[in-house]
Order: sequence, then structure tokens, then C-alpha cells
Amino acid sequence: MGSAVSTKPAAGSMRVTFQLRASLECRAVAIDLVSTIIGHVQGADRMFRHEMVTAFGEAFNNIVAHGYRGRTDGMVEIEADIRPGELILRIKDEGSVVDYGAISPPDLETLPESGMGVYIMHAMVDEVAYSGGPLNVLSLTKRTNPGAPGHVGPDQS
Amino acid sequence: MNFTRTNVEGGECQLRIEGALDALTVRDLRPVLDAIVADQPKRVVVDLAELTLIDSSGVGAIVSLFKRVKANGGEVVVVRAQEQPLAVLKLLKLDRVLGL
Repeated sequence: MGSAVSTKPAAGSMRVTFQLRASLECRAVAIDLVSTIIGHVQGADRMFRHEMVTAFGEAFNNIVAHGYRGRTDGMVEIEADIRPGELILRIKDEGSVVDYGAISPPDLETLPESGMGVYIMHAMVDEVAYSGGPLNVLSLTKRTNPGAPGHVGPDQS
Repeated sequence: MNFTRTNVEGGECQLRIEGALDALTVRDLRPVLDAIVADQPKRVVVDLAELTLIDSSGVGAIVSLFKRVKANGGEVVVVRAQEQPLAVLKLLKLDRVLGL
């Protein structure tokens, strides 16, 4: 994974930030907010929405279930950079650092019942970056046209 | 998330799941799945026409149902999945296993 460090929003982009308690009870609200943000990404179609929401949901689950395991005081901050044809979600927490490099992809032939979240997350977006602790930042980048960064998809015209 | 379980003749059970099946809501569904498995149905039809969102936890629950019913000699088929749930099930190569 690459760097997930946040910088100032680029010219022409818009940044939205919100915080939630790291709890599964807040998951639906978080997804609704991300879905609303996706509605402002130029060129984002239904598939873009489905895939980004799916990736975000798995990331949120992991923070609650693993990063803040056994804790009820955790918070999650979501920083969204909305750019033409691109959305970057930086999901920040102060829980345990996750060693993503140590997570093996699931063997789908064995019909696993767990351990699929990170695999799904990677499959649904164009880039995943992670910077561990003390503030963990997981960055998910998705483009409307993955072959041309920043390019606006045809359905927005 | 809402669900409806219906037993039909011939040892078949239909389970309709609506809304979001995720790490939170799957807690409510697991006892229902356990009860279905305990009844040892010959066939379980899981109708996902009204399922709008599924995550890995929800998929895990369906796979668990599939494995346990199969172990008892029955079968599980998933029907009418669409959009996000269908995309996730296909990503995990479950479309063929579950008859989609």
C-alpha cells in the first residue's frame, strides 16, 4: 500500500469531513453520507456508487471490529476529496494499526465465511493506501474512468 | 433489514431478505438461519430481490447457510439478486455455487 497522507485539497476539488462514533450502529449513517457525497462526483454512475460504498463499508467494519476491538470510545473521521471524475475517501482512526500486508487473499474455492472484507475493499476501488498510527489513515481512491485519472466519465455529459 | 421465512410443501423453505444485510443486521438474521438449518429442509430458496446492500458479513452468513444445509443433504439457491448484492456475490465467485 502507498501513502495515505492528507494534503490540502487540490484546486478544483471540494473537501468534506465528518466524524462518527466507531460503532456498527453508525454504519448506516456513514454509508448514507458517503453515498450523498458520491452524488457530487462528476461522472459517477450507479456502479461507481455501489463499489465505493461497498469498499467504504468494509473499511468501516474493519475499524470497528479490529482497530477498536474491545473499545467503545473510538471515533472515525472521514475526509472526502471530491474531484472531477474522482473521489478520495480518507478514513482516519486511532485504533490498533492494521498490518494489511499480512492479510492473505481468501481462497474463494473453499467458500470462506469470513476474511473477505479486505479483498472486497481492494477489488472495488482503484487505489488503496494506508498509513499506520498513531493516527491511522486508510485512503480509498476511485475514478469514474480508471484508465485516465481525473477524466470525467461519459455519462455525465 | 427485514426478512420473511415461508415453509412450502415438499420440504422447501423460502427466505426473503430485504434492505441491508451487513455486520450489524446479520445478528438478527443468524437465529433465523440456525432455525432453518435445524429443520433440515431439502431446498432453501433465498430471495434477494429487495436486498439493497450486502457486506462480507452478510455474505458469510449466506455461505454458512449453504454449507450447513448441504451438509444435511439439502440445497440452497439464491434468486433475484441484483446490483450491489449481485456484484459482490459474483466478485466472490458465489454466483455459480448459489445458482445465480
